[in-house]
Order: sequence, then structure tokens, then C-alpha cells
Amino acid sequence: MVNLKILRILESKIPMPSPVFYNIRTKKPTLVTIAGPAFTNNRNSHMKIAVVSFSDAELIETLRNKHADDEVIRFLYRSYYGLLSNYIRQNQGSEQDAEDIFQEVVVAFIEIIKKDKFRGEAGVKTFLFSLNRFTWLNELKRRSRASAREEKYDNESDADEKDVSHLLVEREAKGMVMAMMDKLGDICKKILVAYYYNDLPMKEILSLVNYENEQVLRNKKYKCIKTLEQMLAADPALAQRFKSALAYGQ
Amino acid sequence: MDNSEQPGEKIVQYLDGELTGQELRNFESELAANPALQAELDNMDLARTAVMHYGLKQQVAVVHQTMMTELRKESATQGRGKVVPLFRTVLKVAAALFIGGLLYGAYQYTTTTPSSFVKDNYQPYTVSAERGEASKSAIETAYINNDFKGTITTFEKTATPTVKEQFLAAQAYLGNHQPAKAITAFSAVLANQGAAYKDDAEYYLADAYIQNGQPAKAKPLLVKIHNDADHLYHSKVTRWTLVKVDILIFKSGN
Repeated sequence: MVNLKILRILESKIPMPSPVFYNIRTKKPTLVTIAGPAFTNNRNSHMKIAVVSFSDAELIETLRNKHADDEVIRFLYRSYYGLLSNYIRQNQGSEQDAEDIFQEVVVAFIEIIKKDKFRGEAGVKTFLFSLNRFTWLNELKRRSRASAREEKYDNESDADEKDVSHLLVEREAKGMVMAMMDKLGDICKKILVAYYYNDLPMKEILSLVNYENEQVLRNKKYKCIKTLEQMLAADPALAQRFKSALAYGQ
Repeated sequence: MDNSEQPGEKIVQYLDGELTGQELRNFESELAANPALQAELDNMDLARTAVMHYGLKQQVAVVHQTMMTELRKESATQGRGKVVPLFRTVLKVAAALFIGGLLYGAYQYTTTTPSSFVKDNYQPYTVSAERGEASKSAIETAYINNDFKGTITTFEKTATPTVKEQFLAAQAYLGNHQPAKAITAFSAVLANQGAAYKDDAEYYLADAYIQNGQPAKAKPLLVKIHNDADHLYHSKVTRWTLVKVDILIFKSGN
């Protein structure tokens, strides 16, 4: 059980230099370990904002046992975006590259944790850095403008990167399947994501879409997932690649 | 819904955990015996995985937008934070220097008086032995013995004193705190064209003017000495000496 130890509450008018946290009473920055559910309220810039921090163990435990909470993702951004984006920018990447790669790294990291593929031999920071580096170098390879670097990378990649290399394959396959999702249309995506990803009951999903009753919604949901299944069945090679990509070395 | 959709619906119900009891057992038996059904289940499971992946990507993308706004704002704030403290530090140093300068100026203004100026700048003239000089005059002898009064008395009794005797008498007046008479004597020395004691007389005349409360008259002499690198007393008249004279002029109201 993860214990909530402390929250930082600040007026949002005060800049938030994360990942430094503030002692509520002294208003001085302090390195505190905070864990547990997210507590945020930032409806407007004058509201109070609570920032939650996690140790490596708490982060892993939270992601493994729970649906990925926004606060966990925010914590990853506050703690690691600077370091990881810097690497991309220093290695021929643009700001947009840094943002795109970081999003992919966060998604992959969460999925790896949920599949229990994170061995924990390296810390989260080292692991994320390796994921980031590997993903970026693969992207450079894909852009076919880094043949020399490929050779250099193959020689220089250390144990941590070799550890993650088997986890990250087939980025393109993921992208193609996501394109399939887009072909389903907005309603299908909304229903399927609400049901399978957000784990919402049909009653709540009904309030999000304009259907007469739950049975109609249930039929629609079936048609949506069936359509996607048929798309995947029509391209077994892609389906296999996508399956491998999300298996993270399984 | 027609009958052809039934197996597919069952698969989804199975995936969603909605089959229970006998219905679940029947489906699992059919699954074990029907590879096509198993393949369809696998694809349906993959479709569900795709939805989960899509959902996570969407969630991260939404958080990404808000976090990038926050991080950019923070980055801008930190940038400003570096400039503002530096600016503040420079201002503090400038203010400290300004206040220090003011205090020092006030101190100098208060402590600069004719007597303090003379104390800092006046040194009694020392007579040097002149090559081939046969004998010393009474005035010179009295001056060498630091007998300023004797020097003055003898000088005042001398009808036609030499330039050197005039100069030593002027020094004796200055040493005896009679600056007005020193001014007259030094002026007489300077009135002699090509006088040997010209540089000395200019410097000490300026001192005499200061002692006599006439700094405005001392200023041109001191400026001349300061501007003339070959003047014997050039090194004794610095910019700061001139500033002090200006202070004396300001205080005297001349």
C-alpha cells in the first residue's frame, strides 16, 4: 500500500519549478518523497495546485496496480522531460522531435511496467534515459540519415540500452495500427476507449454518446471492436508485428 | 442481430468477462475444439490491446499539452529569475558604491580645512649646500638652524636681500604662521625673471595662499604645477589635491 506522505500546495501564481517541492509552512524548496493518488485542481490560474511526487518503487507500484493516472504522467514530465529532451536536442533532434519521442517513451514505459517487464536493475531515470536514447537512435535510423551513427551506436550502446533494445521494436507497426483506430471514426473510438481503457460502465458511456439505451450502445460497441478485429485479420503480418511490438519482448 | 453475429458477440462477451457458469464452460469447450474461433478470439484480443494502447497514447497526448505549457512557462520564469537577481545584485553593488562615495565625500568635505591641507602638503624647505659657496649669510645661517624668528628679524633689517635670502625669509614667514608676509616675499622671488627658486616659490606660495584663507588664488598655481610634468613639485600636486582645493574654495565661498 502506498502511503500519502505529504502534499505541496501552492498558489499557482507562484511558479512551479518542478521537480523541487515546497514545504507548506516555510515556503522553502524541499526534497520530499510524496506518493499516492493525484490531487489536482487547476481549473483556473488562481486555484491551488497539489503536486505529487513518487519514489521509483512507488511509481512502479502505482503504475503496476492502477490505471495510469494523469498525475503519474505529469510527474514523469516534471522529473524527466528536461533531461530526456536535452539528449534529443543535443543529438540533431528538434524541439518537436524531443516532444514526440518523450510521449512515446512515456507510453512505452507505462506499458512495460504494466506487463511487468521492468526488471528494476537500473533506476527509473536510467531506464527512461535508455528508452529515450534507443527510441531516438531508431528514429534516426528510420530517417536514413545516420548510417555512421548506427555503427557508432552499435559499438557504444551499454548494458542498460541492450537491456531495453529488445523491448522496443516495431514502432511503425504501432503507428499503422493507430491509423486503423482512426479509421473507426470518433464515436467508435470514444466508446471503445471509454469501455476498455477508462473502464467506464455502460451507463456512464451512454451519457457521453447519443444512443437510446444501453443495448443500442452495446451493439455499437460490438460493431466497433469487430470492425477493428476485421481490419487486423485482413493484415495478419501487421497484426503479428503489432502484437510483437506491444509484447515488449514477451 | 442475425445468427451469424452470435459467435463474435460471444467472443466479446468472453473477453469482457461477461460469460459465467455453464455459458462460460460451453464457450471454453467450443474454443478448445475450434481453431477458427480461437483465431478470432486472438484477433479480438489484439483489437482490445490496440484500443488500450490508443487510449494510453491519447491520455499522454492530453497531459503532454498541459505539461508543455507548464514547462515552457516555468522555463521562461527561470530565465527571468536569472536575470532579475543579477540585475538586483548589480543595483545593490552600485547603490553600495554610491552610498560609500557619498559618505567618503561627506567625510572629506568635513575634514578638509586650510590647516589640514597644509598639514598634509607642507614640508619645511631644506637648504642644500651649494657647490663653491664660500660662506653663508646670516639669514641663511638662522634658517638652517630653524630659527625662523631670527631669519625674519635679520631679513627685515637687510636693505637689499638676495633672491635666496628673500626665498628663505618667505619660508620663515610660512613656518612662523605669517602667511600674508610669506605671500609678499614669495611674490617678490617670483618677480625676479629667471629666479633660481621659481618652482619652489610657486609651490610654497600656493601653500601660503591656502594658509591665508585664499584657496582661489592657490588654485591657478597648483593647476599649473599639476599640468607641468617638468615642474619640481609636479608629483606633489595630484588630482585629489586639486579636488581638496575646490572643496576649500567652495567652503570659503570665494
